[in-house]
This record gives sequence, structure tokens and C-alpha cells, in this order.
Amino acid sequence: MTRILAIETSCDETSAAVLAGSGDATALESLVILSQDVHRVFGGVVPEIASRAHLTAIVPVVEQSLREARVSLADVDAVAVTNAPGLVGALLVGVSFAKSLAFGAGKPLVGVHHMEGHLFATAIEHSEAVPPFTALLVSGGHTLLLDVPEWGSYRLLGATRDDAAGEAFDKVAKLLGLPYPGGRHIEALAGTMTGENPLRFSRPMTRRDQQPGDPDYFDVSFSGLKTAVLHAVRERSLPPRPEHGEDPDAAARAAIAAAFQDALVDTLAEKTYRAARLHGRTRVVLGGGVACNRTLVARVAERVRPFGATVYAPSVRLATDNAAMIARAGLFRFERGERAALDLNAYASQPIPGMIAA
Amino acid sequence: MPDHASHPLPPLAARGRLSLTLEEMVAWGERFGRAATPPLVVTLAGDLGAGKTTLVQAICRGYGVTEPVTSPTFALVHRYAARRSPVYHLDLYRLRGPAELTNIGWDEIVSAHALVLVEWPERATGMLPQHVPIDLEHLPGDESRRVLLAG
Repeated sequence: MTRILAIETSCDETSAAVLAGSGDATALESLVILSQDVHRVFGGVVPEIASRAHLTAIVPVVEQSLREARVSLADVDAVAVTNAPGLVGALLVGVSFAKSLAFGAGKPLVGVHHMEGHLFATAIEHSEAVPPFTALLVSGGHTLLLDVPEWGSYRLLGATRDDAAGEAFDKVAKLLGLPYPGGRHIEALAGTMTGENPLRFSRPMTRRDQQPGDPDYFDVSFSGLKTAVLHAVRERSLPPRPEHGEDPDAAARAAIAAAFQDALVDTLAEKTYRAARLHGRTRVVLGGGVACNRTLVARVAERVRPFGATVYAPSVRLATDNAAMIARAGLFRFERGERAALDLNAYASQPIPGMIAA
Repeated sequence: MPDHASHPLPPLAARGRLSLTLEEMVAWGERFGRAATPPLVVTLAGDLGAGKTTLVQAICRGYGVTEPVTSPTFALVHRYAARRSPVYHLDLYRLRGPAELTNIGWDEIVSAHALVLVEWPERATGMLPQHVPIDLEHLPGDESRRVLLAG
């Protein structure tokens, strides 16, 4: 049995976790995620504040994770840390701290790719969410469709051509006057929509005549959808949403939110279906903050059900950025004998390790 | 602050006001990209959905970037390779003000021998070197066209 202490600071969450086990049999012993509400005030991730907030939070967050796991640093076999991709200033806080901790305690260090972490997140809760599977990772910064024949071996099938899925949610939320982060506000507003929606946006890049091998067979694009929402808002001459009290245009805004969400999740469901079918996968694993969207999970499940595939989605805490998934991926890398040197650096962008040709 | 003052504007950044369809805007962007010579800083202002990313993609294509150009809103800066020089694509949407620019390597980027494309330049007021400003606006009452103001 191996016990991993993991640290994640790639974006706006300072997180630490302790996980123990071997292979696919693991138990999460603790997970601390410090939501930095300061970002909500500014309507986005503010890099300068992100680095400073990580710096203030990292020691108490790591201490708390050890305390909740009822272990001391001596009981830990290795330290895993996210070192790419993300905001470099933010990543460096975690990387520097993890290096010092590993060096000081005489523990091995493992560098983990944030997106590989997302691939492992669902397996912490669902023992069946292991390869081979089709993976859809959807967050504020990423939209990736991957085929995963085995851990550590990833085939990139598709990605966004412009805006990430979570970014589309955030920007459309802004157009509708909803707070950041936009995902759950759009979902909630769309849920108030009753009856048949008179509004329908086209599903980008989902023509029927597309064939495997076409460049747009798996790729997605949400920029045009965002513009379509903008036009819908303008056409209706919707006034800004009142900050307090009843919104007299709530029904019109709900129809737009629902039509947008439908177009986005249908597109993702169609692409995921194509990937699972082409590679004969009977498991589909979702990850990233947008995987919290219940309409997305339901729509993907509905689309792949006809050929017997099952969809696994993580709980909210494991869907969004967290150190538990870094511990889980770190354990895999550690058991493969991988160790990072103390000159481990942080990178804003880097391909997921173990990419194989599509 | 680097001095770009001596650098002539590319000829296609014809000063003026153009009303373009999406296809015409893309063609304009590709021509602009082909004519651009580094070092050059270009700012792109316009509301959400005005077509800034589409225009940036066209400029990059014209400049010779072959990798996919995606939104840098999350990462703040994307860097692409091209034969003539690197291309930096910045989206300052999430920045609160010029003071935060240092954190993303602003000084190094705008003084590099590169094509630098900046979305949401209003967040960098007072910190912008000599640049070609492009404004994109929706044409009221006509969804299919947008107004492009350059130079």
C-alpha cells in the first residue's frame, strides 16, 4: 500500500488530499479544497490574487488534509503536485511548496499533469470508471475528447476550436446578467423553463454527413453559439437583469439559457457518442467542472445507452479542481516508478503525458 | 516600454471604417496577417460575440500559424510559432487592471520580436506600446455584418 499527499494550485483552488492504496483499489483519506470566494467578487480568476491567495492558504490547507486523514508526514510515501497546465504564478506556489516538503521530509516527489488528474477523478468514487473508456473533459479552460485504452495511454480525438465549454457557460451567463461561475446559474435558470422552448440554436459541427477522419468529426466550437445567444438577447431587447427583486424578463432569459444549454450538451453528447462507438467503448467517463451539469450527464447517458455504454460522472467536489485526483494520478505515476527531480518546473501548457496517435 | 513608433503600419491596416460580413472579415484578417511584419502589437476591442477570436484566427492563419488557435481567456496568453516570428495571443478579459499585467509577462511579450494580438486592451490602459487598434462592433439591425475600424 502506498500513501500519497497531493497538492493542487493550478487555478483558483488551493487543495490538498491524502489517498492510499495500490492499483485501482484506493481510498481517499482526506480532501481539502479552499474555495477562494475572492474571485467571485471580481467576476473571474485574477492571476495576481490567485498566486497570493495560494501562498497564504497552502500551509493550513496541507496541514488540514493530514489532520483529517489522521496521518503525519512520516506516514506519507510520496508527495504529488500539479505542475502543468495552468496559471504559472499559481502553479509555482504548489510546485515550490511540494518540492520543499518532499526535500525536507525526505520523500519522493511526483509531478502530475492536471488533465491526467481529471481522467482519474471519477475512478476514486466509481470502481468501474477505469480503462478502457471514452473520456470527455469539460471545464473553464479545456474541452477534450479522449480515448483511454489504458491508464497512461491517451488518444486525443477532439478539442474545442475556440471557446472551452465552461468558458461558453461563463460568457453566456454574463450576457444574461448571471453571476460567475456561470454553469450552475445557467442550469438553474434553464430548469425554470416550462413547456416547449420556442427558441432553438443550431448544434455546432454536428452535420450528419461527417465521417470519422473528417477534422470536425470530433472537434467542437462554441464561439458561434455564444454569438447566437448574443443576437437572441439583442433581438428581444432584454434590459439588464435587475440585481435585486423579481426579473420581469425571467421567462425570456430562461428560454435562452435552456436553448443554449441544450445546444451545448447535445453537441458534446453527439461527439462523445461518436468516440465511444468508433472505439467500441462501453464506458464513458466525464470530468471537469462542466461534468457537474446534470443535463449534460443525462444527455450523454441517453445518447450512448442504445449500444449499452454506461456513463460515469464525478461528484461536484471531484469534478472541479481538487487534489484528490492529483493524488490518484500521482499514485499511478509513482507505482510506475516515476520520480520528479527537485528542479521540477511549472508550465502554462504542456501535452498530457502518454499521448498516442489518433 | 519598447518603441514601436518607427515601425510603419502594414499597408492593409488601411485606416477606415469597414462594414463586413463574417466571410469578408475573415478574408480581411487573413490579408492583414499576410501583410503584418514583426514587431507589431495589434489590439482588438469589441463586445462578447463581436468576432474577436474569429478575426484573431484569421490573422494568425494569414501570418502562417498552422496550429489551432483557441480562446486564451482561461490561460490569459497563448503562444504560437510561425516562420516570421512567434505570435502571442492575449485575452485580458479576466484582468482587473494594468497592475496585474506584470504577472503574465507583459513587458517581455510586448517588447519581443513578435506579432502580439491583444483582446480586451482596455484592461491595459496606459501600458500599451505603439499599436494598431482594431475595433469590432455589431451593425445595429443587421446580424450578418459587423463594423471594423482599424488604424
